[in-house]
Amino acid sequence: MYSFILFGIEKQAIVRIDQELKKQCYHCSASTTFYNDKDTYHGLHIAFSSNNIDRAFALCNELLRRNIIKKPEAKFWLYTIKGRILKEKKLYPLAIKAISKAIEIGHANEILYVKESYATQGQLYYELKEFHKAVTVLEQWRSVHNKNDINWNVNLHNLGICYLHLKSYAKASESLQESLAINQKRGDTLNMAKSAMDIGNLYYVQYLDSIAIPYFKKGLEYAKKAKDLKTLRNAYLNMAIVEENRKRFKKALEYRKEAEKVKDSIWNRDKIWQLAEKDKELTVRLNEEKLAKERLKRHGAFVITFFSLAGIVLVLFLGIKLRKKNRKITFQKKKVDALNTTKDKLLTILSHDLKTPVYFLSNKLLALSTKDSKEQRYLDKEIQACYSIASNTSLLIENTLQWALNNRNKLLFKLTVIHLETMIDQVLYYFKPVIALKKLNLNIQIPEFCTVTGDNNTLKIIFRNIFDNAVKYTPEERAITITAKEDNESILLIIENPVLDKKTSSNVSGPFNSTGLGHQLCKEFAIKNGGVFEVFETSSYIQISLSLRKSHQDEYISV
Amino acid sequence: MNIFLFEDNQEDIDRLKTTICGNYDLIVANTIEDSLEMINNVSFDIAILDIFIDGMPKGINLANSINALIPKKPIIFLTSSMDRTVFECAKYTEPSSYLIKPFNPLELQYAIELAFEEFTRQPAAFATTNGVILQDYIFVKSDKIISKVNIKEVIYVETDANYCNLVTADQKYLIKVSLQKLLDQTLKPLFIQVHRSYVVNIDMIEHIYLQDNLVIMENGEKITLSHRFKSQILKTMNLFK
Repeated sequence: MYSFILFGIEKQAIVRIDQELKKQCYHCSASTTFYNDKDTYHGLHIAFSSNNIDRAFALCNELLRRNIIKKPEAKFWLYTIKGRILKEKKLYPLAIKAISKAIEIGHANEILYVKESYATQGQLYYELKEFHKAVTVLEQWRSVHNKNDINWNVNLHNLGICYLHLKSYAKASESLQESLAINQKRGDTLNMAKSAMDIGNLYYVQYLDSIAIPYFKKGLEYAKKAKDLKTLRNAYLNMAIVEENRKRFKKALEYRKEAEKVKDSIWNRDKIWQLAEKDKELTVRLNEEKLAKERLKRHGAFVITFFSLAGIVLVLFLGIKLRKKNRKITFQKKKVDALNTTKDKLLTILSHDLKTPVYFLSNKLLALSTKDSKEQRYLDKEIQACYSIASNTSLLIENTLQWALNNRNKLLFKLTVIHLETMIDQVLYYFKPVIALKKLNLNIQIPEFCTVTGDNNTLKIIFRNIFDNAVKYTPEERAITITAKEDNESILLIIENPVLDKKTSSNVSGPFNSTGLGHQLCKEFAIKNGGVFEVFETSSYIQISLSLRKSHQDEYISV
Repeated sequence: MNIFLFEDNQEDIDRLKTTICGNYDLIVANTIEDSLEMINNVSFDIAILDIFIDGMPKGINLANSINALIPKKPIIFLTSSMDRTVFECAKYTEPSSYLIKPFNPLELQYAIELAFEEFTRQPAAFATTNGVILQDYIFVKSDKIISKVNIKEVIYVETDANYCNLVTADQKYLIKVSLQKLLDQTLKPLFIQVHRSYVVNIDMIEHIYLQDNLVIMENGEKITLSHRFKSQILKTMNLFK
């Protein structure tokens, strides 16, 4: 006989419990905190909702053993869970104990959900085949029931079945019919099928076959619609048994065959499911391996690309840097080479220029010291010659020193107010012996209060070179003219001297000493002093013009 | 005028001596120790310091000591180097001028003049006025020599247009400056004007002949006393009659 179909743990009920647990969890809702050991509690409901009932049971037990949760509502839920889990594990006596405790707490604290616990307890007693107790509990549930309860139909059904077991057919019929009515109302074909078949069973055991058979047929129809294979199989089997008893073996065989088919499809479904699961697992594993390989490959490729790129960039960078450096070095080398050439050239000219006068000087001095006749006139002449050679040479050396200092930007340069006439007097002092010797006339026309702004040192160098040149090239007993002209901003100094015929006067490199250093210095220093140095030459005279900045000393010349 | 020279090279000392050829009194110190002692005990008007002694810039140290004297004295640095770094070092002692070896007498003279001009902040004073005027002294340039004239030793001053003649017991010094300026800058209150053209040193007056309008000075000079200044003199001198 395939008569009793009992509903197991209902999905909705589990969802409901889960929600209730969450509501009281500190982690999941900040509103209520009536437990201390929050982590254990959180772990419990997480385990429960993820269907890890073993862990949930352990945590639940721990919480109850340590008795840390005082709030009755929470305690109620803990016992409920414990009972549910024990029921799932088919440890029915223990489950009943837990659920009873839950009902006790629920009653004492008027917790609404307690009526669901009655239903559960009923199911448990049913499982233990203690139908009387089950009926008592379920009747108790019925006394507090509410027609809108989700599981109402199920519990009514269960109650009906319990009565069926106790052979109180009237009460059973009442409950089952009510359950069927509710199911029809709700359009729940699966439960309609179950209810119809159970009503069929009810009448069948009472040998009221004519009433029973339509119910079985109805159940089969509902089962076909519900598409629940287990229920469908039961419906076919029921029909087969009914037909067999009516001796309509052919029909019974057909129903049996249908039932077998359904059974096969159940197995197939399970098998396919299993296979699919395995396949899925395998595919996943394969995919993961593939992915891992690819990831490694991609990683490797990325790393290699990165390093090679970095390498290229580094090489490029170093290359550019090196080229820059090389270019700089080449440039500097060229500069150094040019400078070195200039220096060598200068040194050659200098030593050459020095060689002649020094050689000349030493010859003269040797002649003087060895000459027997020490005639005064001869001596004087020779000494004069030595003096002029020495003074010329000293100017050359002086110029060189100034030039070197100026090139190194180390030359003393300080702008001051200079009294032009005084300065010219100072410089001319050096040439007094030569001027006297050559019987030269000096024609100086400089205004008395003529002052210029300039550097004492460099201006002296300019004047020394100019006068040296003038004294050297002016023929004997001729005059050198020095005139200064003033305007608002500048003073123009003109030094003019006649020269011998060009043929005789022009030596290798013209006026100024042969290196041209003096000329160069005069130009540079004139610019430094804010002036201009110019040389004007004809065959009969040389004119040098030097413009200098006028110093405005009016405020001091107020006498 | 006294020149203080700090120099250890005997040749340079001799050269300087010949260059000044007795126009100035030279006080020579060879070592920094001597110098430090001398600058406090000997009176001098200007210091010429060689920067490098034994290869050390001792001249600069000495310049700092001289700058600490009261009253300050003008300083001339003497060096053979034209390297700017040396001058950069020396610059902070605020020397009045530099003298670069070798030098001729004109250059020395110019350096001294420049030093006085710089020191008294009277640029080109010797070129324009022939002299530098100080509180108690006047440095007058005459015949390319600078003489130090003590105001107290001047007997009287005679003026002619823009020139003033300072007359001392043994010399006359010409200076291109107006009498009024000279009076304002230095002569007052030691001197008193007795005539449009004469200012006399009060301490040097021997007699005043009011009736003859004459002032007889210590050296016997007779100076005319003009009407215009007579009453003023009587007022200021508060004479007994």
